[in-house]
Amino acid sequence: MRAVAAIARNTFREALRDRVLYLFLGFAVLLLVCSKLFGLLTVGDEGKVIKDFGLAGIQLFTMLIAVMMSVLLISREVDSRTVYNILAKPVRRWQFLIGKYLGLLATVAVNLALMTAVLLLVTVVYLREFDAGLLFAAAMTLLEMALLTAFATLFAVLTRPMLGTVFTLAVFVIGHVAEDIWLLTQHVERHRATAGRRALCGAAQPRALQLQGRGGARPGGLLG
Amino acid sequence: MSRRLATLAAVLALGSIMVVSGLGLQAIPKQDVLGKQLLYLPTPEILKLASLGNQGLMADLLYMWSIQYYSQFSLDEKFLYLETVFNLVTDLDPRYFDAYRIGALIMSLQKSGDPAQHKAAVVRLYDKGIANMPGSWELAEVAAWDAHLVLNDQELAVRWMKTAAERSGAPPEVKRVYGRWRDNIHGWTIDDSIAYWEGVVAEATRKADINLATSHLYDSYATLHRRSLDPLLASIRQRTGQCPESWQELVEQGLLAEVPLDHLGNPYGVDPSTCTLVARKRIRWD
Repeated sequence: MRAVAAIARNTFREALRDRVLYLFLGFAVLLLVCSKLFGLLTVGDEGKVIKDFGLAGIQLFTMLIAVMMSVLLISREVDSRTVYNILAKPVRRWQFLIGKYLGLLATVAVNLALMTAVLLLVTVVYLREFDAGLLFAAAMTLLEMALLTAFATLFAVLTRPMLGTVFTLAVFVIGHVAEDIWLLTQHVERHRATAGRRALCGAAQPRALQLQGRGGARPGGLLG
Repeated sequence: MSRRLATLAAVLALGSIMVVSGLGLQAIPKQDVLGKQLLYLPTPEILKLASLGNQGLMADLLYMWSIQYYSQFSLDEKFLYLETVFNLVTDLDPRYFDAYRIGALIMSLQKSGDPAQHKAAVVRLYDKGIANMPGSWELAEVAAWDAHLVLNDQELAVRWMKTAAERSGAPPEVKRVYGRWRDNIHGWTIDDSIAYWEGVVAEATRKADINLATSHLYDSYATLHRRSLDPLLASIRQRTGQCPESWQELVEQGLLAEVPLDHLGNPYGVDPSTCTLVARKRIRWD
């Protein structure tokens, strides 16, 4: 457990040295500009727009951190061969991976906490309200990012950085559209059934006309 | 050196051509005659997919775009898709209060087309919002005031105000407005009116709310009493040729058991000029 904690701590420090936390400053500036701009453009509740933009920004920035850092940090260890130094010590591979994962998760969590604090501050200053729902949203985003970081770590171990990034982004997209895709399949199934029925009726039509022409009974069951 | 100069000249020439062409293109009068921007609006399903879970953000962007787009009243044709646009926004975020409110406002103010169709679209949008926001009395109240002031449809206003009044958290003011409007259009029996106002009085906690509701309850009781006592006065005037000066006269003649009292326990009066019951409402407001 000490090995995992040591690797996690060092991963977190490495991320800090990479100035990842500066992203939150970018987010803060972006949010302040957007709040002013959209406050001018919208009619009605500015608070909704600010919160929507803030939450979407938090999701985007944390997703970028989770994807890029996960893939880069592990591949950098392998490319610079520093991983050999670690694995030569009494550290198991799963300990290395879990340590890396926890360190990355801590980086994401700190960034997320800072960005949420900025969003809360903006809402308090601009809107004079403290929305506890934002904390819940941030917690759920952290849960999502924990899952995404796990996938990113997996892909970082299995593939090259570029492919790992693409795969992780694909997981992110698929995760968000999964429900819609499922609904789409239901929709397609319905249409397929309708198309099948039409095809059946279309095939039966000439036969029905023939029967009618000969004074035969009309197969209303198929045509109706 | 000469090659560099030639490259620089070529770049400058190309840049000049681009600037002149751009200015020329801008000078051409553009006409969005059929609101063609709107033809490229995707469906709610596609927008939901594209938003990657940020449907509220997508709704915000579309809402802000629609405000800018419909702020120019120069083209009537773009209003053909007005309901589609706001349906799209509210499909993306079914609890977007402002989209329902502003969408309905633009629909009700547009000049072109059939006003009856515009009104039907407003009703559909508000009904959609009221159904999508079951915990909100505010939207139903806004809809009711729009129906009352803009659409001039009192039946519709009463229906929406009733919805607002019945929702949890609705303030006493909303309940009073509903009762008042319902009284005004004679949309219920006097017994229903009395029962409603008694309920409002019972629910009210602030002194001002109790007094206001009591005032309405008083009026309902007065209307009820008027319905039974005015015919009596009319029949006496028809029989004797003059109106009694007070209810005490009728008591003395044995026509009434006692002087009729109003809801607050004060005696009613008689208006000799019209020969009708007079109610003197006295509510202590302090």
